[in-house]
Amino acid sequence: MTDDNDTNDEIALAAEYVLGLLTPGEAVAFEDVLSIDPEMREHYAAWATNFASLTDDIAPVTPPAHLQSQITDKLFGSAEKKPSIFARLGFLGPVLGGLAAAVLVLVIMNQTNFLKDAGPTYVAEIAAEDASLVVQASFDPATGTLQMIREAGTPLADRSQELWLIVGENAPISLGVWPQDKAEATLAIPAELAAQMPNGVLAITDEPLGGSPSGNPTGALLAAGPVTLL
Amino acid sequence: MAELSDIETYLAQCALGDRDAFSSLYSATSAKLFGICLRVLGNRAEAEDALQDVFVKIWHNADRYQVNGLSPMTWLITIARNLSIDKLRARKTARGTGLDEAEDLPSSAAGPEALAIAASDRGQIVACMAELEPDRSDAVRRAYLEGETYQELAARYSVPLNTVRTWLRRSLIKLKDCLSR
Repeated sequence: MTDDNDTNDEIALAAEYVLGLLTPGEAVAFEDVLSIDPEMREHYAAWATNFASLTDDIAPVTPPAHLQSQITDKLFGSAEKKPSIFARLGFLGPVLGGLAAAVLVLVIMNQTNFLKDAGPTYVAEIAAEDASLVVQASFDPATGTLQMIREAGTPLADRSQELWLIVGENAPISLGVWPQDKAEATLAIPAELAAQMPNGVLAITDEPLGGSPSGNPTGALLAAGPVTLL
Repeated sequence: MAELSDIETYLAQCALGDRDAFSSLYSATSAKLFGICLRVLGNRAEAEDALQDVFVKIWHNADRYQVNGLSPMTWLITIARNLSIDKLRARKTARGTGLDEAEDLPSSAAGPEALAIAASDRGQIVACMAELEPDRSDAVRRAYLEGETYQELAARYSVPLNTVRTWLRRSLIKLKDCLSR
């Protein structure tokens, strides 16, 4: 009997949550339970499904045409075209000079030795044409973790290597400075950047010790490579 | 017409940052979701705002959808409904009262009577709602589609807040019994 009452309480609580009838405090407490209690998740999913079907008879209405481009502008900026990797790296024009053609775009499809038991993963090999700097990078979207191993090329004394993500024609975003004297680096990528990772190019520049003072690349582009689904 | 499995695929691709998939998802679902925003908000400008928020949220959360146990359409509808209700409540708070002022557009959706009539060819939820006393099923529908709170429901039915909560919870349990049959 008590069990039934408890179950009924849970069922009613899950329904109240889906309906939005709980106070903010109650809703937060419910979400805590939801995150650890599979039975509660079932109640929640059942109610969400049932109540969602209350919308079955709501007629679809085609939204105005401009709305879609407003949404994509909001999400991706107004540049919808996909520029080439060289165009993407155009920001480095002055530094890049004749080097542009030397940027090696190479994707390693079987580089799984350091991926261990990772799930769907993106990889990039960031390499300079003369192999003076070779970095293997893997990115796990589930955890937002970017793992990198530098296989060749250490920074000059009193210089740092900084890693950048370049998406479309946007300004490069710093992902962090390679820890001094380390061959491996693990960077936590914020969710909003993680979502852009698959469309991005990873680049490494030579910067003053501790990284670029300006927030934008200041030194030479050492290597770059596109991010690719493994 | 996109199949459910297509929508699931689009979502999985969105989670990986695929903009083309996002565009396909928009084409397949925006009319349905806009209909819901319009129904809840009853106001075109607000519904357009809401739909933008809905798709921004879908894009940013596509990677999380698979863990919540919902079907893709349920997940999308829940986002559209919840964001629209948030906007509706914000408007009510801003205006102080204004439940009726909100209805500056005639709703395109069927009212409760029409729903009851259509119950035979609708989902189980509608059939089970019909087994509740009319004011109870009305309250459930108002909570879901109009975002009415316990305070508003108590005022509407002229009963104390605790009373309305008790009878609504009982009705929800009864509803669940029917749905589990």
